[in-house]
Amino acid sequence: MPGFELQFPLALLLLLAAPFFLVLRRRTRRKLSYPAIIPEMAALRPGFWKRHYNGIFFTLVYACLVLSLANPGYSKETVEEFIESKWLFLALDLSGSMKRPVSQSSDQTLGDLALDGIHAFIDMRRDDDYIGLVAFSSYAKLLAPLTFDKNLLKAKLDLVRSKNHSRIYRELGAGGGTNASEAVWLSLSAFFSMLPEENRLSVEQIAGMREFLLGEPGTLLDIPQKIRTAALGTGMAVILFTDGRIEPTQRAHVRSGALPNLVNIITLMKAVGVRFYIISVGGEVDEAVERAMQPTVGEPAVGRIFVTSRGLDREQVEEVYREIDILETNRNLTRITLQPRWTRQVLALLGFGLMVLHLLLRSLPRLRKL
Amino acid sequence: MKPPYRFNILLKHPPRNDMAGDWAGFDRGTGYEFWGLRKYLPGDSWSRIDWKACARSGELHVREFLRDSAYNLLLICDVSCSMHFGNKFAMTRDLAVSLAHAALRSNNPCGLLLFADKVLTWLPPSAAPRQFHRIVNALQQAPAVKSRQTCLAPALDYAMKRLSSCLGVIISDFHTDLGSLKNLMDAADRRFPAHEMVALHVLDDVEYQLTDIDGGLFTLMDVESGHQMALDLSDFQKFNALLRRERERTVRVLSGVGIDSAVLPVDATDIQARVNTLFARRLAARV
Repeated sequence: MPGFELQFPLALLLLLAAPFFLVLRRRTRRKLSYPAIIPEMAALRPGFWKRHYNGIFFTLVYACLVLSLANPGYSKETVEEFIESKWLFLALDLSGSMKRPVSQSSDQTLGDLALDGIHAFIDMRRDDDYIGLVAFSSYAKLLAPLTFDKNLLKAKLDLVRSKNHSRIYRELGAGGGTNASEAVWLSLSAFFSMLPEENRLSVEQIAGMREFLLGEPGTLLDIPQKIRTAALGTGMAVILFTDGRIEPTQRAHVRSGALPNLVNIITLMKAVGVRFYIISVGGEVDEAVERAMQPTVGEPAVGRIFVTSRGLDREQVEEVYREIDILETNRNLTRITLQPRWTRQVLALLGFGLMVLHLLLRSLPRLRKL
Repeated sequence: MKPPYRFNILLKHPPRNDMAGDWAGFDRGTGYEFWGLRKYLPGDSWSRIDWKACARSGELHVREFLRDSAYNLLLICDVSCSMHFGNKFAMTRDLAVSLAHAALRSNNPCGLLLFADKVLTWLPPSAAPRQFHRIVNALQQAPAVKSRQTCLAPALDYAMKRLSSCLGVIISDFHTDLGSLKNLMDAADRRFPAHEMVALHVLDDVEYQLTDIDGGLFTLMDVESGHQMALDLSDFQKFNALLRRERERTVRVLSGVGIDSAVLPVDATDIQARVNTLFARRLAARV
C-alpha cells in the first residue's frame, strides 16, 4: 500500500493487552455449578465456532477499536492528465504617444493596432486559459481580472479603443506617462490574489511586499513563504505592450508616493517563475531592464523583449503575439496527487458493526450463551 | 426431629447361620445371648444373679445379655461437595433420620458413617435411646468438606472391617469410581452376604433430567472437582438421554456387585413408596 502510515502508532501497544482481556473474560465467564461433569458429556461440547465465536468477535472488535485509535492511513495516488492552463496578463500602454496614427493616411492609432494584436492573441489562446487585462499610462488600471470569458475580454478591449471615446480611455489618455512598473505589479498582484486559499496573500501582505519593490535594484527581496510554497509561476506570464521608455525608475513625470522599481519586479518574477514579455515599440528599453531580463547562469530566462520599429503595422503586431503564443504553448501535464486517506472512521464503524453482529448472534437461541 | 418418612426396613438375606448371636445386637439388654458378668447393684433382678459366680467369688454377680436384634443398620452417607448441591443434603438427612428412626423403633441398632474422599464421622451401631439424637446431631453438624473427589470403597471397607454383619444403606449421588467396589464386594459370600448393601441415589433435578430449557450454550463447573466444560444444550433431550444412560450404568454396576438401588430425585413426591418398594422387591427377589 503506497504511503502507509499510522497517526498514533503507540496505540498499537494496546493490542498487547488483548490476551489479558481474553483471559480475564474467560475467568469471569458465568459458569453454572453442576454436581458432576462426567466424561461422556464431552459428546455435547459445542463445535469450534460456537465455543469460540465470542472470543473471536471480541478480538476483532478490540483490534478494530485499537486500530481506529492508531488511525492507519494511506495515500491515494491520483494521476490526472490535462492541458496546462496559462494565466496571462496583457498590459497595454495607453499613454499619449499611443494615440498617434499608424500612418499619415490611416485614422487608426498605435493603440488601436496594439488592441487588434491583443484581440488576435485572445483568439489564439485556448478556451481555458485565464487572461487578464491591465491598461496603464501614468497609472495602471485593471480592465479585466483573470478570466476565460473571451467575449468579456473583447468587450473590455473595445472600451479603450480610440473611436469609442470611453471614460476610461479619456482618463488614461490624460495622464500621458508610461508607468509600466505599476502595471506589471498590478498584474502580479492579481496573480497573487488568485492563488489557492492556503497560498493566497492578504491585501496587507501584498502591500508589504510592494514596499520591498520600491528600493534600488539589487535590494534583497523578502518573498512570503506562502508564495514560495505555492509553486507559483507555472504557466503565468505578463505581456507588456508599450511605446514609451522602459526604465527602472519613473523619470518623465512627478507623482506623489514611490513607484515600484521595474528591475526589482523582474527579479521578483524570476524568483517566483512568472514569465515576462515586453513588446517595445521604438526600442527604448533601459539597459538595467535589459540586464535584468537576461538569464543568469543556470537559470531559465525570465522572458523576452520584442523590439519593433516605430513604423508598426498590424501584421507585425500579430506576428509578435503569434511568437509569444508559441512561447507560451500549453503543455500536456500530468498531475500526480497523493491524497492521504485515514481509516479511523471505517475501522470504528467496522468495530461497531461487528459488535452489533455479535449481539445479534448472541441473541440467536442456538448461539445464546447462558 | 420428627422423621419425615416411615420406612419398613426388610432384610433380603436371613442371618448367616442358625447359631444364636446372629440375632444379637451390640448393646447389652434383654436377650438370650450372654454378654458378661458384673457385680450386683441394688435394683437388679434376683433372677439374673449368677449363683455359681457368687459361690466362686463370695460376692453377688448378675448376668448381662446382648439385646436381641434383627439387623444392624448402618447409614453410609455421602457428604462430599456434590451432595451439597441444591437440596440433596437435606434429603439425605431426611432419609437417614427416617431410616434410623425405623430401625431404632424396632429395637435394631443403627450406626452412621459419613464419608467423602475418606471416612469423616463414625458412629458405631447402637440401639440405645440416645442413638437417634446422636445420629441427628452428627448429620446436622456434618463437617464441611473440601475434598475434590468422592471415594466410596474406603468407606465400605472401613465399615466391613468393624462390623461382622450389617445392613448398609448408602445414601449418595454415586459420582464416584465404582470400579473398586467389585473387588471389595466379591470377597463376600454372594449367597449369604454378611453385609447387605442398599443404594439410595439422591439426585437433584438437573442430574435427573433437564426441563424448561430453551437451549443455548452453557459452561458447567463441577462443584467438586472444579472442572469446567462448555456444553451445547440446543437439543437438551440428548443431555437427558445421556444422564439417563449414565444413571442406568451406575445402577447396573452397583447391581453387579450385589447392591440394589433406588433413584430418588429430590423433587419426587413418592420417596417413601420408592424406598419401601425397594426393600419389598429385594425380599421378593430372594425367593
